[in-house]
Amino acid sequence: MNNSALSFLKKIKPAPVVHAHCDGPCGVYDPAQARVAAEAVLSMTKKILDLERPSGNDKQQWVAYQNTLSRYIHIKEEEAQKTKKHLLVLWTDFFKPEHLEKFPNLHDVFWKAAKACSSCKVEVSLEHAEELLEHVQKIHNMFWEAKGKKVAWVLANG
Amino acid sequence: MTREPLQFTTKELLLWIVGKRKRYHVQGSSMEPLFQGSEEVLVKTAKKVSTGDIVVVRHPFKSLLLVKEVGSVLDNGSIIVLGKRSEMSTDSRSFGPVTTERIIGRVTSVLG
Repeated sequence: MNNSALSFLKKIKPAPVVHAHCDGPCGVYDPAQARVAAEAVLSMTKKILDLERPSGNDKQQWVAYQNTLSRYIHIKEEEAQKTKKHLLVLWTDFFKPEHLEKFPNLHDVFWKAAKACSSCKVEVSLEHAEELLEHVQKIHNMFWEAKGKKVAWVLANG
Repeated sequence: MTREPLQFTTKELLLWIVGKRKRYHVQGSSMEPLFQGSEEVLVKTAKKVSTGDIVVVRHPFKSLLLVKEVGSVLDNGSIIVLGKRSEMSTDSRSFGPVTTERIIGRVTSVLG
């Protein structure tokens, strides 16, 4: 049916909905979730590395420094775990066996990305954080190619 | 058995005009790649359906309509319905067979 005619019909007389999904919320897949979390890991890693220690013994300054450092570390940990979770959902729920024909290194990319998440938690490493983002970009590219769409890799902090 | 493709033909249009087809909007992705989750379909009211038919049924426990594939037809006319994407479909594997009175009909064409 002609797209314009169908769009008009949908507006003037919406059809009842039939659900082709589970009765709970279904996975709406988008690697952007993993990208945002990975960007946060990189951002927090940079902030931790850039944080200046107080020069003297002022108690207030040291309390403020420790508080800020603790919060940065906490957020880095959380965001690395979120990245891992989002990647796991894509790997287990979105990608199917037939995608392996197109992307024979799919499992390897996901494995390395998951390991990079762990490395970012264990260490304060700019190298690991950038590596994580590179793996997420590879997954982004595979995902959108699997969907047959061109979606640019755009960093929120780019 | 070769299933007829769900093409929107002139015959389907005429049947729709005279009220022999009902229009529904598909939402969700558990029937990919058949439905991408935003199409409209025409449905023929029917209680007797066959394995492989794409059907609209009432959820056994909730007040919503589902579109699934008939996996099998039981002796009493109840049907086992399945989503095409088994990993994300809630279907007869969790809620059991769908009884005849809950079958709305068979999808006959996709409008787009």
